[in-house]
Amino acid sequence: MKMNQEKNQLFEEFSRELWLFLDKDLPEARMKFWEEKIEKVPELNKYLMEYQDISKIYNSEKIELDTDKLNEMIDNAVSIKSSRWSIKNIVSIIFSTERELVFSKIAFASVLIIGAIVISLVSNKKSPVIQITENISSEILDWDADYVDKHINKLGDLLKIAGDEDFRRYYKYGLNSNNVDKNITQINTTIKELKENINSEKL
Amino acid sequence: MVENLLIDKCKNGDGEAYRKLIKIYQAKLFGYLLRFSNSEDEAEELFQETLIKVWSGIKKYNDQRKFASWLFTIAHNTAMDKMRIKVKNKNILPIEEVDEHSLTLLPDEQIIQQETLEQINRSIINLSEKQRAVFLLRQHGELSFKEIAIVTKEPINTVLSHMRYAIKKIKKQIEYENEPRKKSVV
Repeated sequence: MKMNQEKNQLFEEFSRELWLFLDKDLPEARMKFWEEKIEKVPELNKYLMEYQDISKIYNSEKIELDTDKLNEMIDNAVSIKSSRWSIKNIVSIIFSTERELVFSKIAFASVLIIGAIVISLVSNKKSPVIQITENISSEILDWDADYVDKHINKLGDLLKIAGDEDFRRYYKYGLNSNNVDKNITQINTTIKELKENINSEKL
Repeated sequence: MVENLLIDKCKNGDGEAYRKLIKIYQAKLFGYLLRFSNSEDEAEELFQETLIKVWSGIKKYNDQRKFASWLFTIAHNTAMDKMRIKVKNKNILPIEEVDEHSLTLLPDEQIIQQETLEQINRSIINLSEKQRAVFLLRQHGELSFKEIAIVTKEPINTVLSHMRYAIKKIKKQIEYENEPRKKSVV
């Protein structure tokens, strides 16, 4: 009875440590301990052999992609990266299937550029804290900083969509021409609001 | 080492080096994604996404870590994200039959091996997501369990436990399927 209990316990321990044993990630003494036990206790040896059989049979299957398909996928991956920062290419990806939207292409690219300029001009002045106190003009500080911040973030989010590395995926799954129009309108409105507020403050 | 040279070239934007690098791992990587998703179309989509992410992020790869481990981390995260979206959308696809490769006339032993392989593949589908991931990362990624723990962001003991239960379930499934036919395969 006691013998069986000991054997069961040994088996339990082995089934927990087998994987580290196979990786040789156990302390030397423990590795030696299991090496000896595997030789002496048939149940442990059987357990090890069963796993190795499953592993061997599973690995016997060779799964490969068709060479042409693989090459095409690699080309896709490489070309997406190299065109990542080109607005021309981003826009061409968006509208590649809708040639009639030429004016929208131009408008979209223009809005992206304007947005980027606005962000770079304002965000440089408000971050980090030292730069805020040293560089930012009193005009902007007197003005509603939270409001500017909110709109800058909004513009930033919209631009991030275009700069994101998953842009193509985003477009593929969620960006149809209606969404593009919506985004363009939203960017335009934000810029308009921002300009109006800057002008009113100047006055 | 050739792999390190290829990685360096990739970091400098060499697309041809990337092709060579991916060809080293394509079978393992695609096999992992195919068995994880159990759908050839989905596996191809995941494979493409993984290739894009690897190429985009290769400059950030630090050679302190094994490349295979880094590569499989990206593949694993991509597959898990997809799985989460599927669960969220409750759009789980029916289990697809996996292509059967070259089932020509085989000697008895090979037939048994082929049957066992199919049984293993069927039982993988029935594993929990985490058990499946650990088993497949081990088999396809040839990663150590310590590396698998890093890839899956799970404690090592949890990973070991997943593997233990995965093997237990696979063995049980094989025994169950062989019982009526009175075969002893494994």
